[in-house]
Amino acid sequence: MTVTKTPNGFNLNDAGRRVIVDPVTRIEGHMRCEVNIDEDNIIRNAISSGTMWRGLEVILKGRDPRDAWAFVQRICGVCTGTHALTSVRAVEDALKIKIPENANSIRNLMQLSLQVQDHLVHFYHLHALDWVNPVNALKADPVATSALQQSISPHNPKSSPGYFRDTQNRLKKFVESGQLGPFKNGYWTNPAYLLPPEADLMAVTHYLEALDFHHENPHRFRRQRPASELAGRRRTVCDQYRRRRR
Amino acid sequence: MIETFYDVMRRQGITRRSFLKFCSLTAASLGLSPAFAPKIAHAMETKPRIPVLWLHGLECTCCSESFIRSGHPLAKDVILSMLSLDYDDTIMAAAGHNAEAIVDEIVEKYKGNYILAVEGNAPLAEDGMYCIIGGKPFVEQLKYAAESCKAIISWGSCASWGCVQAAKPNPTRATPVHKIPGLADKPIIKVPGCPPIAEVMTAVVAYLLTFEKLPTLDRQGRPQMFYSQRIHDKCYRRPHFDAGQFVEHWDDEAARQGHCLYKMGCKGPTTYNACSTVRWNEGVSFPIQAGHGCIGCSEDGFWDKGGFYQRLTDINDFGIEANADAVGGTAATVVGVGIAAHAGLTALKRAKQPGAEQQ
Repeated sequence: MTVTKTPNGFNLNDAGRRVIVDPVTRIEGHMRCEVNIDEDNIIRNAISSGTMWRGLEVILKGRDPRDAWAFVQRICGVCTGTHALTSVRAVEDALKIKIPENANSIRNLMQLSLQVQDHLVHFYHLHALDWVNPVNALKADPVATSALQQSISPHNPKSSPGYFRDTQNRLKKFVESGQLGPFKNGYWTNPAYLLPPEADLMAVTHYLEALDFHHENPHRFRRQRPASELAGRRRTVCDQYRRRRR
Repeated sequence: MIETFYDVMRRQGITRRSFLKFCSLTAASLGLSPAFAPKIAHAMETKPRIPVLWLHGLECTCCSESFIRSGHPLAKDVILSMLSLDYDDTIMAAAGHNAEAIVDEIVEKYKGNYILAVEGNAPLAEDGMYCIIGGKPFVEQLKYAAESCKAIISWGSCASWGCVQAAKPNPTRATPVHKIPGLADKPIIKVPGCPPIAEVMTAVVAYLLTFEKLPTLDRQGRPQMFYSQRIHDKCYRRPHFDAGQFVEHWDDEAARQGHCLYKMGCKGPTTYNACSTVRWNEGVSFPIQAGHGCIGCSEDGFWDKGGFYQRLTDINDFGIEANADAVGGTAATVVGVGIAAHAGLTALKRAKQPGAEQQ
């Protein structure tokens, strides 16, 4: 057994097995996780590291502060708007710019609509497959799934046994084709998947519904006034910055 | 045996009627005449699903995010029935060794018959150490997967041109797919944009599956059907440009009236993309419609062409890429000067009419 003291003050015990997960999938970017397990299967040390670096900090140096939002937006394509907003706020803070109430309202609307779609992506398409087992969903009883759905959200119209049976059939045929696509090589027999088949079927159905929601979501803004009308009324950071320079 | 797209759709409980409707929508989104719908239907009925390896290098996942928002065809149908998206580390269930094993399996099993989709690009500095996947530099994974693929799709501006990580000073020496030394000589389709429009992405996939060939590409390797026109050419604010009505400040009357954003730095006149025709989120809007100029995200090196709020004429090397098919830089520069003169002239005409200015 070797125990090394790290500069951060941790004891690094690499006596037992070393388990590496690289790449960690269903995240934005690239990541490696590594754990050391001792004789009793207890994790004694864990390291995670981002394995990609693009140097946006370096690239931003010496650029026009009005453009910074677009650069930092590319830090992450899943939570883009958040990075942009934070950057705009930082620039405003540095230049002591106060924004009008209208601008703040528009930003909040945009931020909240981003949050809606971001939650969906994160919850279903990125995270769900860690605890939802689509293969197990094939064993579910659609009637019981329907009852489960109705007990959770009684007002959801998509909760009939037939609806879940249709999804289950589509899923069954997808799995039977042998080309599992994104579900290929999953850990479907692992006991860590604890959900009963009914919950799995319900969650897989929602996983597919959420995909449809993404392209429907923007239409919720369609009937509102043209954005240009609103945008014209806000004094943005660009304009104020320009005035300051004059 | 690999199942065809039609088999899969039928087996998943989709009616023939819906299937045909899907085919005509796809034909429409590809800009083809309705006569092509039966051709697409025939192709989908007889051709097997193609396995796809979707690799991620230096990127931000915005291309994947855009892709899952496609309305015609629906991303759900593309993922479940059209392709076999066997490796895409943003949505795949497997991780670690299990994930990497898929790349080996597909390369072995479908030699020469799978599509390699690349999101992001490879850093070449420090032997590629700025992007590591499964303990190996990304550039190695890319070369390995490219060796036996059928064609490469370069998703987004990263894979096509280099994008933000390749902006000056390009600290990681990020290099777009077609410029990577030693990469297998395969046909490459560039689908630039940061990100590309969702329907453009799925339409390119649908075209590849239907006709088993690359869509017609322009000189720079982009599908002509989506990248042959500038944003400016089909912009709904174009009449204001021609009339010399420009926004001068973000809060002036012209901005409220939705006039042309050229003077606010709009890069529409030099950007080849389908935003002003296809628009975003199933035609809901696009940046100019929301009151902000185009930043030119589908153009090579758009990060280093002067500020996003600087008028195009300020840019020294303006117009080098202005026309993808123009011969040589000189012709392109003339086009650039032409645009500036064009804008100046219309403004002049405008000024001559008393009381014409909005302010």
